Amino acid sequence: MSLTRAIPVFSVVFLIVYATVMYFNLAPFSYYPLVGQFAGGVAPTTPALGPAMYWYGWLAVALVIAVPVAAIVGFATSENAMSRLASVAPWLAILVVAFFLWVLRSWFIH
Amino acid sequence: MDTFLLMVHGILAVFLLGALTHQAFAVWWKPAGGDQNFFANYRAVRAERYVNTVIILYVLTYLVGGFLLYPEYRYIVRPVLEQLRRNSIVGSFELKEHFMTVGVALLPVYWYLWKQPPAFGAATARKLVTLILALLVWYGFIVGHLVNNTRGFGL
Repeated sequence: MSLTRAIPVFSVVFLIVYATVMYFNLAPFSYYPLVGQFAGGVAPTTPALGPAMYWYGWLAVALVIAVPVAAIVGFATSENAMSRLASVAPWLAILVVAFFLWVLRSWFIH
Repeated sequence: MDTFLLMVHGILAVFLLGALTHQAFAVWWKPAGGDQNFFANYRAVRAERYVNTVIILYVLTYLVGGFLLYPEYRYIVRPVLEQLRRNSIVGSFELKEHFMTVGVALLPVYWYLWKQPPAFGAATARKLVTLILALLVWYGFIVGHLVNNTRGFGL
């Protein structure tokens, strides 16, 4: 298997999974930066522990899914198909950026 | 220590911004043969030479910002901005968090597209991914400064 062939798959899968888990807040763990502690699942903000961060959980999910999927699909697919997928990735990134603008629009529209 | 890290983050971002802007101009607006002015020379760089440096600088900037600085922003700066109802500032920074992650996700395919011979539309995709990365980094750079200087701007 060529590692190079897995690379476009990784980018595409990571983008899709990251946007999905962020939207549904599917963090497997949370981080309390005030006290430097981790907690399982989507933990709430508390006065004692401070605000909870879910971003690291979202990144972890995207990585854990994207790496094996890229390895499997990269092994099973031809170089030409990977080149075509690589050409699609930037357009997907534009869609994901637009998606985040839409999801977070409430910060700007009151 | 935070100030030092913030300066490191900012300096890395300046290098990254410079490299990506050079590269984006070089692929989107190639200078004509006889052009010798400043802007033509600015664009007349060997864009392929920037790829590895861009990737290293992007990852370093992302790690310093996302893992060394962001946690403190989350419990020191953001609550204050929320109390002051600076929602657009907080939202801009939330977007930065996700936009920079989109950029990280694009780095492997950015490397792939620059290493491949331009076929199957790869030339267009290469130009596009370079432009997207440049715009994302410009966004992150401006918003980072905006948040850092919010009180100074009176926002």
